Amino acid sequence: MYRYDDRDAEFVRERIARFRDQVQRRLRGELGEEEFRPWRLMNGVYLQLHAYMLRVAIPYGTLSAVQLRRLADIAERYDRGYGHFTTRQNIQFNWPRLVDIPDILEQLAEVEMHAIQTSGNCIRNITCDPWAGVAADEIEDPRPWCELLRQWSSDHQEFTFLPRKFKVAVSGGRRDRAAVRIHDIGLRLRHDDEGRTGFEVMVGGGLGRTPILAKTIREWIPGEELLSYLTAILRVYNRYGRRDNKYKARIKILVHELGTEEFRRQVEAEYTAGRRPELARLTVAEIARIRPFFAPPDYADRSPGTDPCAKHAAADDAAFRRWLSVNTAAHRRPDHAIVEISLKPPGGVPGNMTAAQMRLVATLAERCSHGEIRVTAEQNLVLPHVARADLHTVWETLDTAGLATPNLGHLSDIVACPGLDFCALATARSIPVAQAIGRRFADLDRQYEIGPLKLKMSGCINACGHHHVAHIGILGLEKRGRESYQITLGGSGGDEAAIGRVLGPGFAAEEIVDAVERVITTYLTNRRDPRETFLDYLRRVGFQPFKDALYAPV
Amino acid sequence: MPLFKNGRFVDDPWLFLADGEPLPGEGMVVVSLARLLGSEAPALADRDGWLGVSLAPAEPVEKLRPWLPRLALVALAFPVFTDGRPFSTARLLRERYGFTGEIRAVGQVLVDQYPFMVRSGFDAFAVPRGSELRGWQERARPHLVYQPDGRGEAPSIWRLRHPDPGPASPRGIPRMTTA
Repeated sequence: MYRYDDRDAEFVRERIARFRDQVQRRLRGELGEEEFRPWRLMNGVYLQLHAYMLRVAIPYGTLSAVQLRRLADIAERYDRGYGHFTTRQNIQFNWPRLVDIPDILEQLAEVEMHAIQTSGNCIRNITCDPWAGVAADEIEDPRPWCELLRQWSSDHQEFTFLPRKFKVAVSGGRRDRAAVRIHDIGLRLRHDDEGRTGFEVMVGGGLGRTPILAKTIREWIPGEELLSYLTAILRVYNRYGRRDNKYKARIKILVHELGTEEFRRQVEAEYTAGRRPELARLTVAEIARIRPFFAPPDYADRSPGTDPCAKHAAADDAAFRRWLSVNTAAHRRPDHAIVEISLKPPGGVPGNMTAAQMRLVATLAERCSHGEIRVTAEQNLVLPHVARADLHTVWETLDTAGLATPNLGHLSDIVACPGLDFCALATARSIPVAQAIGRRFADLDRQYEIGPLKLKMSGCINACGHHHVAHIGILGLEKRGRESYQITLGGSGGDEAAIGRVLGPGFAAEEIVDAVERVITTYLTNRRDPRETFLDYLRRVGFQPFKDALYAPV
Repeated sequence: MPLFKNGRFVDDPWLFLADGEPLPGEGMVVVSLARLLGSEAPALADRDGWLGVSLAPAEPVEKLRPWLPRLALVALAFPVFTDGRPFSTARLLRERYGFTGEIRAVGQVLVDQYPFMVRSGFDAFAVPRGSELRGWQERARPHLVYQPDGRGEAPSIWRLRHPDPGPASPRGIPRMTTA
């Protein structure tokens, strides 16, 4: 893991001091809310429906046991004993008092964490593949580059007052697990023929009210030129992105209005004119400095001939076997596994975790995952380095805390935003709907029969719950004073990224669970065979059977 | 309007002319881009005395290029402080066009934006009336940053870490090798 040096630490401390000063001026009335807003947002502080909310960055999703324990302390002291993991590798705490927030930030800084640029019209927390460094299919660990980007984007003098928020994701796997195509800039790490590191650059993805997938504008940019190239993209956006209408201010609209070719031309012209040799030299030096932090841990050889898991799996331990096949994935070392911790127990709030659960996972990570935890965009956690010999113990421990629900990638592994229960932007509740769907489909055998399925829901058009890229997406709106839930089908993230299509008119809160049930029944009844997944079936037959099932006159 | 420059408040020798106002025979004047490029251009070019221009956020700095040797001041307007376009304009003036005259922030100029402005190339700040001037003297100072783009006012962590960052043209970054 990356560790701060004295200068990184000083940077964060100085930044907190500035924010403390801004908070005090706000509390004394010297700063109006209007003038205060950008500074509080850039320090992760939202003004929600009932109170302030603090969004803490987990840069590129990598977390240490010590850091997770600190998050537990903060959850207990300042929230109501839990935290909420978001879809962008952040954690949110509700109910902090504004006056306490600089203190919270100092407690975070002690464990090398911060809330810098987790909101506001600036470059947000850099996200990446939660399996970085351990995935069996990895080209190269993207996290040194994410750390470089974290530093480069922090307090950037030119790009801190952009037309709108700006999200960057980096993927280093052969498969894209960072959903790079739904980001303002998506980077896919690739090597050239000479073994040099570089990136495919995609621009203009995003969800919200105008969901668009990012387009490739450069097949390959050498690593040392990355910052000059990103500067060019951001400069074109900062100068020409729309500022007259906040719903048209994201870079995707600029790319769309100019056309990809013209946008590319402008970026290339700016890049050629603005290339900075010093930036390239410093990138080379800084990457060389950062890379050793991400060296693999010192794995002990844990393969004494037989796979110790096999013993338990062969035994009549169906629960463990289920968990093993659903919640673990192939590690680059055959004697290790990647363990996914589901934060989606039946009827639970997706992404919520109590302080006690955080401490348990922290201790478990120290014992069985080299002290490391990852946070995923699907609101789950990952133990990235578990020896297969320890899997049974890990499972037992997680199970005691309700963290071993074997539902990863299945229907009840629901992604949901906080919705109208917390969020000032929301138009409908999402948590109660997600809970109701989770309860209705709690039966695991039924979920396994349904097969791989991604259900995601957002409580407003801003789409924080990523419903556009769900196989089954639910969007909560407000129609004539009542909540109305629209269903979209056929979206997908990652390699086969696609935007889902709205099926038809929305459903009332008390109808939406039944509607999802009818969608599922339609698929189960009509699929060719159990190997035809929901998405395959939909792509084969289209939307009509679902429309008939949901809207046909009775 | 109080003018903050070089860490203190100073007298402003410049006269900002509205578009209809007649051009005085002498003195330091600032005109709009439209006026600079309009029918008065020859008169402005030949005039004795220092010349400045003010630019709205949407006005392209590229149009100033032929005029830059003649200009001693470029004022960049912030109609609202959340409009970040002048940050790009200032950097282009300094880093691409080598402009060495004054770059002044005018409009809704907040002390909290001072560090970002200085690093982008601004060196004069027209502080809006009603601002707390003492706050400027206390708070307007650069701080530790990562980006190596500043002109020396703010220490760059990357430059401090790598005082001798290697050959002028790097030969690429080899793939990461893991044991």
